[in-house]
Amino acid sequence: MSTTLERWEPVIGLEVHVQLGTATKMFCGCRNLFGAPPNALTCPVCLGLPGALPVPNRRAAELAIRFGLAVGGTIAEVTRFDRKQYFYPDLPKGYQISQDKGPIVTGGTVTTSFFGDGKTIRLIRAHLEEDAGKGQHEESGGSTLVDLNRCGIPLLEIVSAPDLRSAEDAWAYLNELRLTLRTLDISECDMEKGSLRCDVNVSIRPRGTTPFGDRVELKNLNSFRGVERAIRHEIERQAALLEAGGKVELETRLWDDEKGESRLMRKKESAPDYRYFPDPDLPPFAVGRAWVDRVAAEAPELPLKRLERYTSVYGLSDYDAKVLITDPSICRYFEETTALCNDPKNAANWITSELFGLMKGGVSIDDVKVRPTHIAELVALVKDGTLNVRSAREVLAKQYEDPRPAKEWVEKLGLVQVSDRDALVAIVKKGMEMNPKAVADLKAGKEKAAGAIVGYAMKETKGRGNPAILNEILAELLKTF
Amino acid sequence: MTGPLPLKAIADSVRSGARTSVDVATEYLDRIERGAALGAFLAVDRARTLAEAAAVDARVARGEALPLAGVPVAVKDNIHAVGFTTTCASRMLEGFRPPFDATVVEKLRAAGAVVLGKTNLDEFAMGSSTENSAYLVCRNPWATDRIPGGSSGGSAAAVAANLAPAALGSDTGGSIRQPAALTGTVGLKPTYGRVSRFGLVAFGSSLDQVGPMTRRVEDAAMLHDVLSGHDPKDATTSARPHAPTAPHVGDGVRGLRIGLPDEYFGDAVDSEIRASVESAGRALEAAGAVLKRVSLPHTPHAIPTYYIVATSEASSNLARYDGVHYGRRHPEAVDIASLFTGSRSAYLGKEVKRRILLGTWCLSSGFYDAFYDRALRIRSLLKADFDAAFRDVDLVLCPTTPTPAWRLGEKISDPVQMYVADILTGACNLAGIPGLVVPCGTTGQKDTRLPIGAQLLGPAWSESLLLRAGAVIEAACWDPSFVPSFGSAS
Amino acid sequence: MNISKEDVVKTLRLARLEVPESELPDLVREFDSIVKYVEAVAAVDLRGVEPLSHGGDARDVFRDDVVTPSLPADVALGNAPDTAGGCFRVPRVIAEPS
Repeated sequence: MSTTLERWEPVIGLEVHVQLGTATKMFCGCRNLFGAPPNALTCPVCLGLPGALPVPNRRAAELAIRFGLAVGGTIAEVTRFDRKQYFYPDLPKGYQISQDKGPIVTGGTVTTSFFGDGKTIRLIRAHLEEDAGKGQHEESGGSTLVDLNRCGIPLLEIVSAPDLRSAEDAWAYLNELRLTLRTLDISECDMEKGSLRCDVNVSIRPRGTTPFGDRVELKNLNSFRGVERAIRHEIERQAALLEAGGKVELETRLWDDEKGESRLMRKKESAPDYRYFPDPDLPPFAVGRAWVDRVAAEAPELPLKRLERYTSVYGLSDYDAKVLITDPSICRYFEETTALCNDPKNAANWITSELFGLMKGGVSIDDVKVRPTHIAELVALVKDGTLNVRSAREVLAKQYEDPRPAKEWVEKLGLVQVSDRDALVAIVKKGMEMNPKAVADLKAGKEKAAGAIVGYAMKETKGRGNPAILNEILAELLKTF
Repeated sequence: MTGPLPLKAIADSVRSGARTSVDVATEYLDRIERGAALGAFLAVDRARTLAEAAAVDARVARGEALPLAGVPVAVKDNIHAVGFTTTCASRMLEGFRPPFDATVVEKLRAAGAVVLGKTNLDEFAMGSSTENSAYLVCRNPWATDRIPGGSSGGSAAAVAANLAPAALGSDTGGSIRQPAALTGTVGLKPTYGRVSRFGLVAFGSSLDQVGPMTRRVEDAAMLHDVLSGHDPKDATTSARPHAPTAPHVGDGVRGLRIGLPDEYFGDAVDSEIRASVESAGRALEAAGAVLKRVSLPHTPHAIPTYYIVATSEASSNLARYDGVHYGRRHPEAVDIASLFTGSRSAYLGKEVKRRILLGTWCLSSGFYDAFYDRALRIRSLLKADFDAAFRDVDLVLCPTTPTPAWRLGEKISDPVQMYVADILTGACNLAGIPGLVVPCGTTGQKDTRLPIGAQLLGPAWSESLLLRAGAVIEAACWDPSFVPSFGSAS
Repeated sequence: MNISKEDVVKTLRLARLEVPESELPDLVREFDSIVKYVEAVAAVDLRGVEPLSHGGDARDVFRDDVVTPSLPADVALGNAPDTAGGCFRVPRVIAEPS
């Protein structure tokens, strides 16, 4: 009995909307901010009052250009805005200012280097538009309450080609896209705050065939895993339909993640006629070579370039580098630490091994009390011999709760490393006397036996012994013992 | 009290202290009250206007230099002035209080002008007679059984009857120029992008402009200079700096080449009107201009093109009137669908619905290429016609309307007939060029003399030339101090 | 092209307008004459002619990404027909946008 996926090949395309990280809205100077009191961030323009007119946000266009360059797309030389017309209570003008025929970016690719198997997915286009407001059902009573704070926030709509072939592909693509957008400071991409939204187009075809099947659009996807679940469900649904001799209807379906199923939203024939036409209030604009070059010069480093730098220049492992890069907050923390201590390998180690070990339960590195300065300080203190690694770990653990400078903790805990040769020689001698078997093993070439003696010395020095010196002393004493 | 004064004279007298702004405003407010039967105003607020005037007096006392000190200006009720409602003569916006001034009103107020009240118009500026107002009938002061033109009929009637020394109108396909011609007043539609549309309720966004309606050419120049300039709140305004026109109004027309377009002097235009405009041409000749014939061959296509473009844009601009965030909501709306449809259907008038219907049709899938896209291309041809003509001549002189003011109710039944009357004014908006109308004569009818307006069109940014030519015609053919006696209700 | 009642009703619906059944025949007739009038644009030779979608000479117009004051919420809601909890209130929305 073959599985669905053995019989059928899924063909998937994704449409992602991200809110751009600008200070203000797309066409007015109201603050671009999540979570303000309702309708506190509105003005005649985003309220769609009669007589109000839109003026485009240059920064939003720049972020769109930055995206286009990052994915290797083509930036339109002349681009313009179009009106997309429909009626809805969260759309005060009765139209959304978007781009239809002349999107600012066409083409480009996304390769799942960090989150997938390195598959390259083509992009069809990316364009600028404004977000709509938000409706919320009233607790009691049959009303909907509309808040227009979100209305007018700049969006970039990114449309992929139907190059994805599995739910896992989709998950990887979304994460890869999110990484690029966050690393380049284009968008926060937080699905919970609504700064990333996603619709999916799914069709299936018998394995080994080329013509595309009829496709279905899925909406109301609220998490990346939800996208995966919805796709898997849809593949099964379509397969069952086709295998029963039926036909996949061209339609839009709403996903219900709680129930794990989808329901019909509208059939293709009822798809709205958006009556796109060029917005007469917004003159077309040119994106010249000079502007593109300026945007390119200001753009943060791309994730793949950064991976190359971390592995070949810094000498980090591919694994460690990816751990750092895939979380822009952690990456930023790492870059700051490295800038301070000039030792990327140690910085990486301290962050990924030690600090991560202390961080519990999904806490963000941005909220942690230990800052890059602390890590850099510890790296320096170990390097200059003031602390051994074990003591440094102790300090870090304390700093995690109480972030005083390391020097304060070192003093408080009396952790200064003991490097006084004479004192250490005496202790090592004692250790050797107490562990004759270890000495014999060592003389016989079993290096591991040093552990017992060094361990004894560490205990005697309350963990503050300088391990390098201890081992040196041990080696010397062995000659004469 | 002498005849109607030029705006400069009013401002001078207020600046010098000879008169107060409150005094001037009171005089006009009293006249407005006496002339209420004309239906020129939709909103008058004596206390507010006098308070504005008092504030101007205080600024004058502080030594502020105010070019329009104390000048009362009536504002068409599709342009926002804080403190007054903006209804656009529609039930849909009954009681709407704008939280911001239109940029043009901001400029007027900054210059010391005082808002006299909001004038009547065709609903949402859609119409040529002001008969489409949902509130009041507006009458032509020259013959109160006749229309004042539209859509800026209220502004035109107010100025013609001297209820206001000046008014703001808006022009999308002739809505300043046609009522100016029918009421014997001066009306200027600026080059598209010269004056800000921020705060003008949009009808046809790529066509609309705000302009002055006055008794005299020099007044129009003075107002135009105050209103003009780039506005960062309107992305369609030009960055080109504005060169003042008022100082040059008297520069004359010696050596200017004036074209008379064949297509504008055909039989569809009353012979009296043609003759009157031709005599205005001779006045220009006598002042040293050279007249020649020109051709604007695509003129016959101007009106269908205008109606496709204007209604398409309007259908989109009026989608916001959905009863959700402002405007009137149908009280029996039980769900969203009935809220939208019920509110729009109940409170938008017949002509507005017709135009939304046509515009929606022209943009809809399957028809966009045949209508809207084609119209935008014909628009290029119309502009090219003017560009070619203006390589040959400096200005064009032509009639404004095919007929003088017609009787109330006479044309309203047939929309196509109404649309065709726009034939002489619509191409100008499509090309984005400026147009000035100056009264040049009256019809010689036995019992009723009706004004005739000569229209001057020029290349983009040529308002100064238009005003110079207008001043010559005015001096030779018209007495701007004449105010028709319109009696009381009739 | 002849305009049918269905054409008019469909277009009215797109525009969220409705007209009493009794007024429809007149509206259809009127609309038919208007469409026939504007259909004249079909006769013009437009080969090589570009569309002119914007008036004026403004190009490349932008605004800096700088915050400007918003309206106080009560002013933003000032002309609203119905509000609750600082929001615009409408009958419950069931369908998705279209």
